Amino acid sequence: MPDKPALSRRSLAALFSVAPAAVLRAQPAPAPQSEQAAAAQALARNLEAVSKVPVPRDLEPAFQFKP
Amino acid sequence: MPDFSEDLFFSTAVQLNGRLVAKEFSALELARTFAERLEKLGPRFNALALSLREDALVQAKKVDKELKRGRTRGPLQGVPYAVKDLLATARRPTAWGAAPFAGQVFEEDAAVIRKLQKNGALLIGKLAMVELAGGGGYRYPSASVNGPGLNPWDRARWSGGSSSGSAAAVAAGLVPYALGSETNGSIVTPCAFCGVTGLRPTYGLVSRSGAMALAWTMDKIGPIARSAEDCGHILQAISGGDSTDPGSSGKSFRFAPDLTPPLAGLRVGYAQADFDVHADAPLRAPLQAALEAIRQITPQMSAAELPEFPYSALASTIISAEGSTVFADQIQSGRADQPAARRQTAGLRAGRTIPASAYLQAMRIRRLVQQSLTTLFSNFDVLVSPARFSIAPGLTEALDRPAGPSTKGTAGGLRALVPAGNLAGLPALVLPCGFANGLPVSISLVGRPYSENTLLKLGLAFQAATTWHTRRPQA
Repeated sequence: MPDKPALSRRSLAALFSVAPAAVLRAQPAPAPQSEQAAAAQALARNLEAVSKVPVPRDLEPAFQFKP
Repeated sequence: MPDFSEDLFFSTAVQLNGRLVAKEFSALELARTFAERLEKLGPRFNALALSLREDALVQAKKVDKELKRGRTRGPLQGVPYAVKDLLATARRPTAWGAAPFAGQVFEEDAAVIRKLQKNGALLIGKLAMVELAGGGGYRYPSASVNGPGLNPWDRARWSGGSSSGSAAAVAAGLVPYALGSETNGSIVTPCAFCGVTGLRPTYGLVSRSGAMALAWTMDKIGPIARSAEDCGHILQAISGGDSTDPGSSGKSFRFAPDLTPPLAGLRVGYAQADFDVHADAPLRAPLQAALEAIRQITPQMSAAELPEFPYSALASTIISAEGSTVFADQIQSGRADQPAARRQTAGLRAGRTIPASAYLQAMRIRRLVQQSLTTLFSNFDVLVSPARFSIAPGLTEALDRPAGPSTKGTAGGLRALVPAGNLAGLPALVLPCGFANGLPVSISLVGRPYSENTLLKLGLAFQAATTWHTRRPQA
């Protein structure tokens, strides 16, 4: 088993110099705004349609769902 | 090695098993031949996610030894098959159709794979799918790490989703049958577009253990095959209770269509407008002919109408809320941010904003949907409708065009049967019934929960009277 290489100042500096780019790569890449807007609009339409259906006060949700 | 003709690749599982038992060829020869074909032609349709040829050949040798000893395990023994890449295979990659999960490996096979192995079936590969089964929503067929599923009848057309590779592989004769999954149309749609027979089982009848979860209360696994008969045998093999799947009903399915009441007494509901108004014009003639063929088998047919509910909005809300919760960690960490379709990321993120009250409202309405459909099925044993109302779209056509006004219950006949049936957990059988512009057209039979034998009995009679399920695309 080889010895662990010692961290030199130079190698540490190199690590820190690439860190911001690596961090940036790890950040979630947001979806383009048009896609976000389209998804949000679709969701809003669905929620509006669902909210309009009258439901009896004592009706339980379908948990655990069984057909 | 026997000289296998093209006919072999379009044989049913039952036919292949019969020839194996008759010792016309060995399971090893059969598995090798199908695996080579899947490897060679699968990429032509963007259908192949992973070949499991070597694993299958090891299993095939065991099956040959069993057959030599006279030990038979039923009609799936020694017959190759493949699964949607949403099902875990032990120590082999399972990508769920999505680039961020390409290197994912599980330790155990999915429950359905273990069950098929007990029946002597030979798993030769994993098949492409829409990434994450389309949980975030997608706009174009290209939403898969394997590329758009190409339709064997016309490679400029989509094979459907999300079980894209499963249906394409069966249609192209690359496997005798495959497993797919359906949350809201993912078996029905690709079967209809590719002209193969598919069975969406009742929710809870087949264990999802080892399958990617998209929406816990709606996910189902089912067979995609060449005949209703094969679907019955496959469902029998994969059904059954499983304590590791909270959605499991604990019930098993025994393929016994003869034990159901005579077809002549079956009450079949349909909406005439589905066949001559709602379906696109080129589909109407084959659909009407199929309706007439059903009428010859089951004369008691009458008009049916779905109760009015916003079915698609309900299904989307539930899938979006559950799916974005399933993938919450991946969304948070950014791992779910590199899909082929940006819309998936946006849809999953949007799903995280659904208020609990909206999800609960949808689940309460779902109860009303169930009750209404139970009432509807007091008058009918089976509902028949077009499986899809259009032929397979082109590869660049947008899939998220706004639905027309006729998707509403009263105005829409049975047009919303896919989301309605999935919300209520009902079984569906898809049967090829003709062609329009050279592309397959299919009908769908939907029944009460656990009425698979009734659907299959009608499906068997339909396929005995027609030959659409035997058609094959040009080589």
